[in-house]
Amino acid sequence: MATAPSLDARLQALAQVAELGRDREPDALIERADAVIAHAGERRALAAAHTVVGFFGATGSGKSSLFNAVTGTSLARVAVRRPTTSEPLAAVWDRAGAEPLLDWLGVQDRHWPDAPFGGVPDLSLILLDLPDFDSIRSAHRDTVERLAAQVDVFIWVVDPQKYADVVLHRDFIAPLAQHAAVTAAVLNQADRVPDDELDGVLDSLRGLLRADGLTSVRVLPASAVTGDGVEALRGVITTFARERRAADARLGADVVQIAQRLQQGEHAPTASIPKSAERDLARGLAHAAGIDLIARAVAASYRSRAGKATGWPLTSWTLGLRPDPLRRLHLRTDAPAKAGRDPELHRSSLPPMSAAALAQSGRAVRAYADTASAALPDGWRARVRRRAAVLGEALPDALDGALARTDLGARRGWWWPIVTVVQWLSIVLMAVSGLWLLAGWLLPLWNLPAPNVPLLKDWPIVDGRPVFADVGWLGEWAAPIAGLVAGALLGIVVGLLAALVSAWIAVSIGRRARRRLAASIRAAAAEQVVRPLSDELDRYTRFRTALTVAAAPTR
Amino acid sequence: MTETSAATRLSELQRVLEQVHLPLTLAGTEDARALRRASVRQIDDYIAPRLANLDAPLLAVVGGSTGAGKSTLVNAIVGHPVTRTGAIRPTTRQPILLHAPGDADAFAGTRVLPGLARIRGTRITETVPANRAGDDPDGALTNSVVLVEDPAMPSDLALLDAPDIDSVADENRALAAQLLAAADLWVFVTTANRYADAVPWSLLQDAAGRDITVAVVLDRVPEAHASEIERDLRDMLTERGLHGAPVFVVPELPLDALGMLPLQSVQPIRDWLTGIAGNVAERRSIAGRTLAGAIQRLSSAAHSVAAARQEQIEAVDELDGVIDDARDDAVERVIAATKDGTLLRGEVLARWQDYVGTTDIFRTIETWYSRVRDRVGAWFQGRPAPVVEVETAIEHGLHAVVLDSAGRMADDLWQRLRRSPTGRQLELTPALARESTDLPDRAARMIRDWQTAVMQLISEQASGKRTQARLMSLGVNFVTVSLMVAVFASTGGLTGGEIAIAGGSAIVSQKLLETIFGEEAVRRLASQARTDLERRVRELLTAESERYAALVAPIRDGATPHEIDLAASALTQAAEGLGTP
Repeated sequence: MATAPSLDARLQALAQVAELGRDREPDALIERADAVIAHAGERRALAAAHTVVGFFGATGSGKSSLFNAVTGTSLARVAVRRPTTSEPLAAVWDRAGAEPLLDWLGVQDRHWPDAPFGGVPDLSLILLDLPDFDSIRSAHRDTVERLAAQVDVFIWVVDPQKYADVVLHRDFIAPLAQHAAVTAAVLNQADRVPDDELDGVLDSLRGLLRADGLTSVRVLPASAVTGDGVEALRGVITTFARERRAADARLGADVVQIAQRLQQGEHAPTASIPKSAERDLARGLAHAAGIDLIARAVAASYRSRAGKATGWPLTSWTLGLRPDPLRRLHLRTDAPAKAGRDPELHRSSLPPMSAAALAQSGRAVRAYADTASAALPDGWRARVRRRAAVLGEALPDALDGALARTDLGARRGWWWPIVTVVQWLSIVLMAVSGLWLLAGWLLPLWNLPAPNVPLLKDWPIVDGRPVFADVGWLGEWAAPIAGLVAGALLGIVVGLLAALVSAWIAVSIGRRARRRLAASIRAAAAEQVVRPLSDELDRYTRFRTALTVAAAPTR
Repeated sequence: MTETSAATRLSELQRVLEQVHLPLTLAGTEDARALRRASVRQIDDYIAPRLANLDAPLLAVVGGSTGAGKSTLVNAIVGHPVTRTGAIRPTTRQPILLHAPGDADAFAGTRVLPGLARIRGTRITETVPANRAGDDPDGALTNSVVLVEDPAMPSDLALLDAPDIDSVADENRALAAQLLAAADLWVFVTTANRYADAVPWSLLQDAAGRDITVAVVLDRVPEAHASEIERDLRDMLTERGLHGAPVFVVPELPLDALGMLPLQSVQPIRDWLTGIAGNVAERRSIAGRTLAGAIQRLSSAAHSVAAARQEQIEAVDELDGVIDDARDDAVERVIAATKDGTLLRGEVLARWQDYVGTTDIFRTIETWYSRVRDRVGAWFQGRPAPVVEVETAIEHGLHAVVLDSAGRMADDLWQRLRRSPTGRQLELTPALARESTDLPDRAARMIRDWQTAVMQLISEQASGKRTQARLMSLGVNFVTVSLMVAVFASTGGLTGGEIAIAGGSAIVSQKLLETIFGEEAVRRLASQARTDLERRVRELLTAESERYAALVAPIRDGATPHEIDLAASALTQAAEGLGTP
């Protein structure tokens, strides 16, 4: 079995637990953890080597008598009126550093017996006789509760009448169940129990202590009157003082106690957030950001601009009357980098998200937070959800930025100018033919010499041979008319072919834009939502790890 | 006469108290619950039977701390071992009731303490030592009382040896409290070690408050210090308003072979008890005083329970307020999102723009051209006609907004209820952190219903022939969508260049509608359509918030504070003058 962590390791782990669990675990528990750490710091800062042993017990159980018997003095006042002791009283062996420790304990009534305790020299020990905790004087109980948080070793003094009182067990012993290693119980006034019943009473007391959670605590019968058992008790105290481990053991038990309370009702988180959740988030955000719409607009814009550039100029000008689909979305048709502005600094000029888009992105983030936090305890779950709500607020801007940064690849095609040149050539052909024809018809009216209008089969002549000699019936057409028709046909056919090609390219450009946009959104989602929330999950894992160290069993 | 009417009032109060419901744990609720339970039980155990018969034999309960020597004392009073003594705590588990042979009828039935089973005990022969007397302690039998007929008991007075008031065993403590509440008089046993304990003193203080007759037995007193301790105890009694209580000092004496105290040490107690038993007037006066005190205490307990109940109701009101606020916020969010035109941004806007928006000069040609083109495109690409697309876009947008708002409401409510100390006590399952699973369907149905209603509104409006003709030429669908656009853009709120487009589209829609119906009618139609939408959204989200309200509602069931107060006051009135013969 692994060795139990040292007190230093435990305290460090608890400090981590308190820090990580703040605002996530119940405030009362975190405050208690802070108090334990602060208290341990104070106690350990005191240089004294003393072991502080407190005699706790109900009124009339004979704490003071037993104290006197154990110390071999008559320091404590013993009386029949109840309650007797109202102020704690200290018997101190070894002066070095004892005063600051006593100041810290808040014990004023200090005594320095000359005789070594139990005959053992050089023992550093403070023995405290405390007031009761069950009498009508509630101030006594306050004193006892304060010192119960401070002493190193608990000696519970009970008597045959009172060993089963509810106040003793419910309010004091059971809450200190973690402290069994620094606890001993003494059944005082054992002389009052008939000899044949003593074992039964001791068994009954042990049973009650077991029910309180102290499984292995030493139970001693004693009598301050007859002196029976006093020597054994002195031996127990001497051992504690000589070992000098009680102070650390007590503080360690405090740490374990609060750590175990924090462990209650916790459940282990799943190792990670399912990948599908992240995919769903990206999909939801992509939908909200309208990437399909943008991708469609990119394709439509390509088609439209290609149409303007490569269509038959006589009809393609009408395309200019419709606004460009991308510009209508306030997106640029060129690459962001070429625009000469830094997208990190400028938002896109996209209009703010619609209420529907905001709603979709809000839902996507909430669903993600819901899945991510499903395995966490309530406090942590609430925290993740609150964080997600805050992140969701900033998300529209982040998505907008992501869209603005994305190169949509909506640039003009390299082949457009070539087609444009062909189209204009077709227009030139038509114009020349038209003018020729027009000249052949109009000039004679003004009695001007008309240009010759040859038939196609006769003209043009290259190397002494007409080019279109063998074109059949087409040869009977006048050359300008043929040119006019040819120009128109060329323009229309090329325009249609270009439209087919650009439609085909537009599809893949649209797909590419969609892919790029989706990747940008995915990156933004990872950056803005997934990472911050998984930080919170990591925090929980670290919290659990630290808690395991702090709450490890002492033996 | 007074008794009968008091008895009616008493049973009325009992009925009301039984119906009191304190499911939330607030500060002090635990006490109020215990008080209510104890009060209901005390009515059965003591008040009702005593009210019915003031002359029935008295019940004296011997109570005290663990290890105070109650059993030893009881054995000494009757002169032989009847109840088990011992050093192991808690010794007395089953209460033993000792009565004179003639009083068997008064205690054998369920007249008093009806909740406890009766076990008939046999008188112990004197040879059994006290540490083996009585039955073996049996945890399962703590709900019973052992009846022992003993000729040593004076008639008309029974003695009940109760369990410890401060033992670590919970059932012992509870039973002790129940028995003490059913007592006509207390024999309170404490010891030299214990007489300053806080727990018994709180009980004694309570006894002083309700005017019950108490005798204090100071047991196990070292003889040398008897007078000093007795004086101290008397001072304390006086200080706490119990100066009239007799104090009997029993010195710590060696027990005999049977574990018995010498008889003479308890003789004064015997004499005191016998004196009371033999005096009818004294008995009546004790019973009457205790009864009056008990009724008064009962009525003030009922008032406390009423106050606790009131706190519960207030807590519930607060929770309901939280839920209603969240619901209102959610409705408000939907309304805000649909009001300022933001719903028309993005997709819806693009669709509508495709459909009606274009430059002014070419609107006619363009509309004609693009309609043809769109139809052809739709036919080839399998895409629905644009008007349907716009309708769908509005539908989707509205759907998303409603779901988001409901989701935020659920998240918000889950967190707020979980943070509130009262809300945390509700059964907040993780599913309550999300909108309900069938909400998307219900929201879709709600929106479709609204669209149908809008369409109907338009058809109803189109009564004239001209109007109908115009409506038919444009298509009811188209006009419906136009009206929806007008509804969602009615207050503008769009920014920058969008005004030109969306505002423009909205204006186009509005103009178009106005040419059909006239300006006034359009305004009315739009406002009717909007009111209808808001009503439907509120209905849907209210159904959603009902999931939380349903957790809270059962807390309201049961008697109201007013009923309790009324019943308690009525009882006090009816019982007036009861304790003063």
